[in-house]
Amino acid sequence: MEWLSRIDRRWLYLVMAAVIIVPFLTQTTFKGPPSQSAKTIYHAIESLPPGAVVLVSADYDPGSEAEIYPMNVAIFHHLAHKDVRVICTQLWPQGRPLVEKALAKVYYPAGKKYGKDFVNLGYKSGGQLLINKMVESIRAPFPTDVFGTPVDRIPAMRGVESLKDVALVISLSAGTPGTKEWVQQAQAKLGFPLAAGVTAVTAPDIFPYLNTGQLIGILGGLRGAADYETLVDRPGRGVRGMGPQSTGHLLIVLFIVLGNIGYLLARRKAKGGDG
Amino acid sequence: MRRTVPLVITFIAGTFMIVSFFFHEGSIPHKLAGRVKDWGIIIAAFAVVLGTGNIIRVSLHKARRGEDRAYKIVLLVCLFTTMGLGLVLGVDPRIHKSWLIGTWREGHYNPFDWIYNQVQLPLGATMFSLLVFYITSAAYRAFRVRSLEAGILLGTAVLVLLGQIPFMSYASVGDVSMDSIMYWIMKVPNVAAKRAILIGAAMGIVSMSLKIILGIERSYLGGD
Amino acid sequence: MTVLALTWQQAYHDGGIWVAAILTLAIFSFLYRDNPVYKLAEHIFVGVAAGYTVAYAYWQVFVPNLWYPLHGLYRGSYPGRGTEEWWWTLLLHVPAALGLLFFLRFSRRFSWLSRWAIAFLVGAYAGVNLIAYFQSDLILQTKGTFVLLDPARLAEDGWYKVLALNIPILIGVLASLTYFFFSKPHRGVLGVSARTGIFFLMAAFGASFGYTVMARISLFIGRLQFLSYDWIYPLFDLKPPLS
Repeated sequence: MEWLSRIDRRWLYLVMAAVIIVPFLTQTTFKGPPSQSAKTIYHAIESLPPGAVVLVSADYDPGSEAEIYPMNVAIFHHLAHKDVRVICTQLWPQGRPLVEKALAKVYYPAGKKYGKDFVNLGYKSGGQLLINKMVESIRAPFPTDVFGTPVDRIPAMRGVESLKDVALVISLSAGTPGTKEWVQQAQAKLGFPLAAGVTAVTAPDIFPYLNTGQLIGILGGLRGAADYETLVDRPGRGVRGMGPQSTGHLLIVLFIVLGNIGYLLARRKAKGGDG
Repeated sequence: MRRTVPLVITFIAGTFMIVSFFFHEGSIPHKLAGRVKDWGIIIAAFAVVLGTGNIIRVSLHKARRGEDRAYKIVLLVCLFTTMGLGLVLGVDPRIHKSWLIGTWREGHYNPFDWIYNQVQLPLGATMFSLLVFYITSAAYRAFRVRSLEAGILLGTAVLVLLGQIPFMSYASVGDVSMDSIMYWIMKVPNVAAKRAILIGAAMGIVSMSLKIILGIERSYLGGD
Repeated sequence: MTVLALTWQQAYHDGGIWVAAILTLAIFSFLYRDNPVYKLAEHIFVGVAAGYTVAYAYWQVFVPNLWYPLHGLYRGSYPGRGTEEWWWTLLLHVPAALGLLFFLRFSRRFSWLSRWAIAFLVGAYAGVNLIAYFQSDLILQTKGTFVLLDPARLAEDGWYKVLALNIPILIGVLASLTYFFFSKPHRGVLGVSARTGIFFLMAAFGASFGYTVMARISLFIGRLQFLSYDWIYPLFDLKPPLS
């Protein structure tokens, strides 16, 4: 048993890689029922009246692309299906190309028109200050869209002066500024429905807001993305990832158990030696 | 001049934000605070640029001293290339500045976007994906049930990990399915503890903000 | 000419995938051990990311929020001279000047002036955070903890459900808060409460750890999806399962 505790870390890496790569190559997928939280977000979008305005704040970057981009695509699939106007903003500069990739993948093929059905207002600095400002005015911090077209000339922005004119805000967030700031600076003041799609690292920290109803639902990590893909019946990177994801979880659990068995055995031996 | 002016600026900027909260929209304090926020957004963008300025300065300094010189030169070349392309060609995926000449004209793919997709995206995404291996190693070596507290931590971690596996919603302990155990952990003990942390942190931040605005806390101005 | 254009586009796209794949593998090489290839990729990453943000700050903030209005002001096209909006546009010189003061940090003689800009940002953020944390995290979270005292909620959602969920939360919040209460030694009732708090905190940290593991595995899967679907599959003319 001694060798078990002195094993080179690179062997552990190799085992982990293999456990993820094998089900990935064999395209093993597991399906399960979507979480209640995902269903709530689904129903919130489903019950939007025609012509409603949805603001999608894409506050993520390459480091979290694997988790949030699939969510972004799945949510866009749902929104593109509905007769709603979508406004995209970004609090992180690196989010813009990703949200545009998702728009190109979903919105243009769905026959939606840029400027009429959806618009990307792009990145602005300021974080908390910006969200706070958007409570009173979206047009002041965003005088133009990403391409430099004045907002007054964009039909999708007609009648949208501030966050008060928005029916639903979806915060796709990978950290600060992100969902927490949206809750604190805007939702707490106006009380609009706020849905969150976040990395698994942030998800546990924002559950208190779900309990108070400040968030209507949380999609957490790749599992959250898979849940939403299942709900909109568009299996993508999320559902595909559930196979390797599950085997990875099982391996970590196995490692925790093995490590502790070794520890307990060693402790018993040490105790025996003493006595 | 050196200490008083910044304190006055902080006081004015902070007070505007607080006072405006108590006035209805359209009132003069509210309007003034709105403009202060507009200014803040612009100044925050300068701060972003300052961050890059700092990286340039530190890298230049190290390159001059001969510390990792080749790497620092690569860093600076990449930085100036990306920044230059972005500033000249714009940041849109397709170039739409009609005054450009030569290979890159209106409607052409923007090389700035190429750098994002083919360099920044893979590097950023891979950098963070390395962590899966470290966490594996940690799970094997570091997580030991040394006490009751550690046992609770590991127990919930294992239950959450299992609960996230899609097919586990069909597995159950007695009448309770694995995923509902996980959701209970997330929605009850997790909410309770995280809420206590939220409330505690909020009290800290509220009092700290007040100290900053009133000029009692001045460490952000640095020593002199 | 079409052929040339096609190859240029192909080189742009396919070459790009190769660059991305090689950089991905370069980062993974760190798992074996630290090496110059990894270090090179790391420095490329820092350089590109830093350059990227400046271009974004310029085109998405300075140009639309600062330069367009000032340009209109200088040309006299908008807004009308002497109106309220005109004065505010004129005052945009203040944030521009304050922002530029930041860069005096690099000067030895005038670095103290950069504090004016820092002071403005720190003050503004302190102001908005004070209100926001107070309203959202202090008031609403405390209110949420005592939801079981709200008869309307009890009637609406069913008292059994509300109590079953919220009594343990109430106990957990109070217990965890006593753990953070350092003004008195944790003995007697306070001791029991603090110890209960530790259990709740440990359960929460365990949950966070589980979710963190999930996140890290997802990121690795994301890289695998890129390497196979975007790079290897097209090499062998295979159709990736996802388009």
